[in-house]
Amino acid sequence: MADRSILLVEDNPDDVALTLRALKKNNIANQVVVASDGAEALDYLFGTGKHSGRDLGEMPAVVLLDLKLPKVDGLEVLRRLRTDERTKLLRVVILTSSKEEQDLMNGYKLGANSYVRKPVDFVKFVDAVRQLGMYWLVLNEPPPVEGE
Amino acid sequence: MLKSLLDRLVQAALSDKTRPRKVQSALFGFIVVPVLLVAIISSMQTYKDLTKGVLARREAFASLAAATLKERIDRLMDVGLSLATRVRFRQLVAQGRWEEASQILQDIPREFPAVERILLADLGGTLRADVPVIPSVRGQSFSYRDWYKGVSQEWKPYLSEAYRRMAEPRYNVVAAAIPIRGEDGGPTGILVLQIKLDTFLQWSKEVDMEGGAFLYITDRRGQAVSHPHLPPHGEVLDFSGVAPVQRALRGERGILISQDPVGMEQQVGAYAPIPGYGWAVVVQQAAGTTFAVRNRTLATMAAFYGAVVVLSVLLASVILSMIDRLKRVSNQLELANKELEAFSYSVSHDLRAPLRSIDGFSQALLEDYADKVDAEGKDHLHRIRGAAQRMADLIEALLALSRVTRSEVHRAPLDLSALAGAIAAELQQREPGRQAEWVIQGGLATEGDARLLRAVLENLLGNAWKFTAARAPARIEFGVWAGSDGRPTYFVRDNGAGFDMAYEDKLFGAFQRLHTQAEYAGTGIGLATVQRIIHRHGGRVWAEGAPGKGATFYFTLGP
Repeated sequence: MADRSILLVEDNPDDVALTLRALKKNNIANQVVVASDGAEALDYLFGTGKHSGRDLGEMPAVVLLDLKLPKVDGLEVLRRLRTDERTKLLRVVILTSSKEEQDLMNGYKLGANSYVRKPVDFVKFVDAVRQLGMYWLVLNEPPPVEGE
Repeated sequence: MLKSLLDRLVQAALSDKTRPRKVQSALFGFIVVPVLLVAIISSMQTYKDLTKGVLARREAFASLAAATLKERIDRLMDVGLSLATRVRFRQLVAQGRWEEASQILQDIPREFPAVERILLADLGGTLRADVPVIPSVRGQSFSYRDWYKGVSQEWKPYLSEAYRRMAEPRYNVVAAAIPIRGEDGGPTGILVLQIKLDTFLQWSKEVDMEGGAFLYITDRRGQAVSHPHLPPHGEVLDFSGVAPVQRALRGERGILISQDPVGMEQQVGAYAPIPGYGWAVVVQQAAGTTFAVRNRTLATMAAFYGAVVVLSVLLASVILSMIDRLKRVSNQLELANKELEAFSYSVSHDLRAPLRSIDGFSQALLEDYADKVDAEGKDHLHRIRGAAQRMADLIEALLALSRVTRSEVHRAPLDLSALAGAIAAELQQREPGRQAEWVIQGGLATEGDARLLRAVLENLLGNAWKFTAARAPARIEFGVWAGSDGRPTYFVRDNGAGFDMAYEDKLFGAFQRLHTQAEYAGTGIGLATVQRIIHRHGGRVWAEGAPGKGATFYFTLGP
């Protein structure tokens, strides 16, 4: 799945830099599309606003979704993309600092595929990203519906 | 059972769903109304009792006065009788020798001051002789007099009604007419003793009255025989229209409260008949005086009950305002808790992000600029990373501590042995290389919050695991013994580093540590959390230890 992009929805530029660094460290070469708020994420997914005219046939292999986002909240993004036919089956990994039970519960209820907590320790973070990459980009079988 | 009912009432009153008006009316209903009822009923009863008492006393008084007067009148009649039955006197009268007969009676008025004048009349009522002598009336017929009509009916002794006599001075008198009998027992004449009304007035004054009460007497026609407010020789007034007099003349005794038409004041009149003579005695007193004491007592009672009712209303209001305040405080508390929750939530998210940056970029520096940074520089960066990590741990521990305080304790039966066993397995799995002996007592079932107690055991067993790192083999025990007060006391014992008992009181304080970070990593918050959880279960936690000889942590789980 090396040709598929990774959609990273993250508002904190430090976290973006660190995540990209972690991906690079793990030799994950997929193109990373960064959306710095929920609205931008939806624009990308539905080809509106800043990303209008984008070929919607090319959906990301996995969406790394932070929860606390400006404009449109992470859970709202999840809810929207789960209700649209075009994006319903996307793999969404919630990647957040929050361990609050309500976030966990809501995330799964809205249909997230996975919930990973960002550790403070960068070394551990790199390892987490590695595991995520290994799993979602290599091991996991995507649904066949999306035209390959 | 009463306590649980009370608890439920209080809860209902405090609950948000209960409308304040309902609580208000309930409180007033349950406190004020009963007090008011008691006050009213008790006052009414007291009023009845006191009034009855006073009136009964008055009645008895009138009866006593009547009895006394009867006795005196009887004695007077007896005097007459004894005179009329003197042998010589009877003989003389039978022979018609009136003048001589009256001579026998000469000294009587002097001997009996009550008898003002004596008359001797024949069977037809004509006056034949008198003592003292008043010539103008001799020979006159007095058959129209009440005394004649009365005595001539059955020729029995008769006490007349009051009248003004013919003879001068024209006194108001009452006549006792005694028949004089001859040898054969038939009447031969009439002996009349005239008694001035002063006599009765004087007698009535001898009866001791209190408080403005007075006594008056009427004859059988209701005419005043004596009345302290009337001159004895003025016009003979007719009191037959007065209610108490009417009743007494009917032979009744009792008491009446009526309006005095002249004075406008209410009068209490106790009446009694003078038996045998058909006369009436009335003891009268202003109602105000009669009931003075009663009214004073009632006024005191009313004041007292008034105070009680006022107090109960106050009490009800105080309770109401307390409930109000409690509700407000409770709402504020809930609000504060919600704010705290929101705060903790944002803390957990917002504080970690910068820490991640600090750690991440320090690491990036270490990796990318390894050749450009000397050993000291690398050391600095390591310290930066370490500090960031510790701060993250602290945040975690603080959040855990605050979560424990906020959360409710959900009690359910749980197996502590199984819990301890699972935690032991987890710890061992993290460091499989370590040699450790776990001695966990089986069958330790109790009641408590599973989640919170898991945190307790994780902490205590985790600490034991941590501080026995230098021991081979480490020995960690978990069990229970019957405590000094009979409550099961659980313990976690290890053969690890131990601690100096001198610092025992610092053990459970938040952020207190007894070892340096270099010796044993830790935030120093864990035991504070343990203590809080145990306290919320209503139990106690304490520890024993000695440096180098291991430590034992004990805890109980409340009743």
